[in-house]
Amino acid sequence: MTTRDRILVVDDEPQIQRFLRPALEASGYEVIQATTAAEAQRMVAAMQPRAIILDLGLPDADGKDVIKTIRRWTQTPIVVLTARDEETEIIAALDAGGNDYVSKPFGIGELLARLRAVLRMPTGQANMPGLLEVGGLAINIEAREVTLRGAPVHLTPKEFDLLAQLASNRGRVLTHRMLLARVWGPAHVEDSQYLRVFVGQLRSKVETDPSRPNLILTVPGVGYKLERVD
Amino acid sequence: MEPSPFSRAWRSWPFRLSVSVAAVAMATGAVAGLAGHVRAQFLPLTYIVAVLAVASLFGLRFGVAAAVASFLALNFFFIEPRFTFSVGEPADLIALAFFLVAAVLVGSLAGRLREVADRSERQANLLRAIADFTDVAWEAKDRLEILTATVRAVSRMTGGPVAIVRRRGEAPLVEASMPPELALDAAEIIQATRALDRHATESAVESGWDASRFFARPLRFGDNTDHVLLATHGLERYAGETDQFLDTLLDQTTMAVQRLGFAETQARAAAQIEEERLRSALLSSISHDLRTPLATILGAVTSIRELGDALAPATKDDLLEAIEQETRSLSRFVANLLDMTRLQSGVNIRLEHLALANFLGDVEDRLRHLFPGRRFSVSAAPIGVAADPLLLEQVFVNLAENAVRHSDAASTIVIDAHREGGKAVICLSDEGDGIPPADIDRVFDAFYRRDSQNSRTRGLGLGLALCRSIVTALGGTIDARSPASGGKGTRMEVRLPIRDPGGSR
Repeated sequence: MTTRDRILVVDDEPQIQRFLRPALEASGYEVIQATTAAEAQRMVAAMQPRAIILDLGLPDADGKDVIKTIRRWTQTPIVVLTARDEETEIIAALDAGGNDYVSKPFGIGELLARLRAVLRMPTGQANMPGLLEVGGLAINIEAREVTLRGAPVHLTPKEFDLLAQLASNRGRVLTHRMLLARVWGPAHVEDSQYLRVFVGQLRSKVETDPSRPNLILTVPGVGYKLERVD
Repeated sequence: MEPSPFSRAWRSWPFRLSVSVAAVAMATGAVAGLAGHVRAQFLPLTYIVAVLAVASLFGLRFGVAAAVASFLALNFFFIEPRFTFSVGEPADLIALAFFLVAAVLVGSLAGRLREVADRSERQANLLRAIADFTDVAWEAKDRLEILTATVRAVSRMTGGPVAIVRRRGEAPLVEASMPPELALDAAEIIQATRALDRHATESAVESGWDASRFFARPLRFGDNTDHVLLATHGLERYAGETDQFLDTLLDQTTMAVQRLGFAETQARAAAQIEEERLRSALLSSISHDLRTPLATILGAVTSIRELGDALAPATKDDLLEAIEQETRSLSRFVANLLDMTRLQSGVNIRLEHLALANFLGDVEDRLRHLFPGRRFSVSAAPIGVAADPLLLEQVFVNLAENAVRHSDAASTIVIDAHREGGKAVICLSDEGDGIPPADIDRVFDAFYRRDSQNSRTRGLGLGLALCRSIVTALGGTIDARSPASGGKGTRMEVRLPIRDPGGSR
């Protein structure tokens, strides 16, 4: 019997736990629960879940602080649940190390899809792997070469850096700030317009249909994510 | 303050002159009397005493005048040839000359001393007036307080009546005056208005149709010149000095008024910030408390639809129950919100006669529906009230929800209505946690929440606040008593005026 992936659900609302547990179990996961930040941190260390579903509105701590603390010792994927649609909250959580987010209220299908996506990400993403493949793209980080279905794609240095960031964090939402900081440097973290233009150029080179991207996805108001969607 | 008649007389120069002359005359008499008994060289000292006395009482001018008068008297009455102004012996002339010099010196020094002492005292008084003013003005809570202190201080300085007049439409208004019942005559009002219009000081006018005892000086607080000070100059002699102090005082007044303005602006800003904070907290709370039940509902529904086959029947039932509970909770919350909005916008409350027995029966039905499984016991005496049935029902739903949240599932919630002290008293009691004495007064405040071990859902903290708003709007009162009975639980008491059908009480 294949071992079930263990998921830690952190939410202080019993009603949320009431439907999440059966739904996750019915989808083939093992569920452990925590209702406070302190409990969550203990359980992450003790039980080593494969992924964490974390509500931002915990009574004893700020969600992003919890993420920061967890990130100090593990790269376990975190999907954030947020009841507020203030972008600043979401962006802060993602900047702190969250992988993706879901807004309440959400359909269970949406959560399960995000969960699957983050679980696909290999853990230990600290270094960029030498070769990345996604869709028809093959990215050689060392040689700085990209091919699309075998044919070479010519990218400018910045376009390549951008693609490399997105690809090596596949499935994970990277905020505008993150991308700008990593590709252009900390001085440019406010230049979202810049980023928008570059993403557009990148899409025109690697997407089958740049106007309907299925590789480099926009997360409105928050950032971008590379994920294969069909 | 008006100087007393005596001090006015004291200051008048005819009086002083007569006293000086009398002093010299007395000295003359004394010398005459002592002539045979004391050696001649000491006699002039008697006059020096007189000069000293006059100078130290009346100052420099009178002192010198007394010195000259003494010299003349000495010459006339006692130097040979007597009863003439001529001097026989040259030695006597020299002696007389020395006497004059000495007398004048004594007179002027003593006189100067007197004047310096007088001036110091005057200035001390003026400073005290300003110090007293400052004490009041910096603590003042409104402009009137400051202006009243100003007129009081000016009056002390000038010794005369003072008024501060404000431009108000057609006729200026006396804002503050000393004495308090001061009335202005027409000429003075015109003078004040003219000073305001021209932004310049109008001086006092001695006589004529526009005679005014005051000078009118416009005061500037901030941007506009709406105020004018009417004051007398006080004693003419001291006018220059007083004016200086007056300037200082008026500067202080302006600063105090400005400080008040800043304090008010600050208070308003702070209030606005607080309001914003509250509004933001409210919005954030509402947002959260709406989304959580919705999340449960949507999550549970989609789980059933998408994973239905993989779920055990008992699990499915549990999810369905969760959906039902959250939907009800949500509709109560929405009802509370709407009621709050209704009350705030002052929509008419429809009062009708309610027979409590019937009404509470309906309430019982509703509560059993909303909180299935909980035990309710309802009883009512045959009394009626005037109320809006929907709103009053909401009160009891909220009270019951509170009771359900804070008491054990097996305990009973009791509702009863009876007549007490001429009012209808409807009580809702539970056997639960009770309310700590420290919180009993705050329980009806908006956003007040208590944690409870039993709570499945968190309320916004508006339920009880809404109860109070509704009950107050219906002309009644609501109180919480804890413990209720048997040392535990809470009893909520709603008191309403009794109204029998037909409108009689």
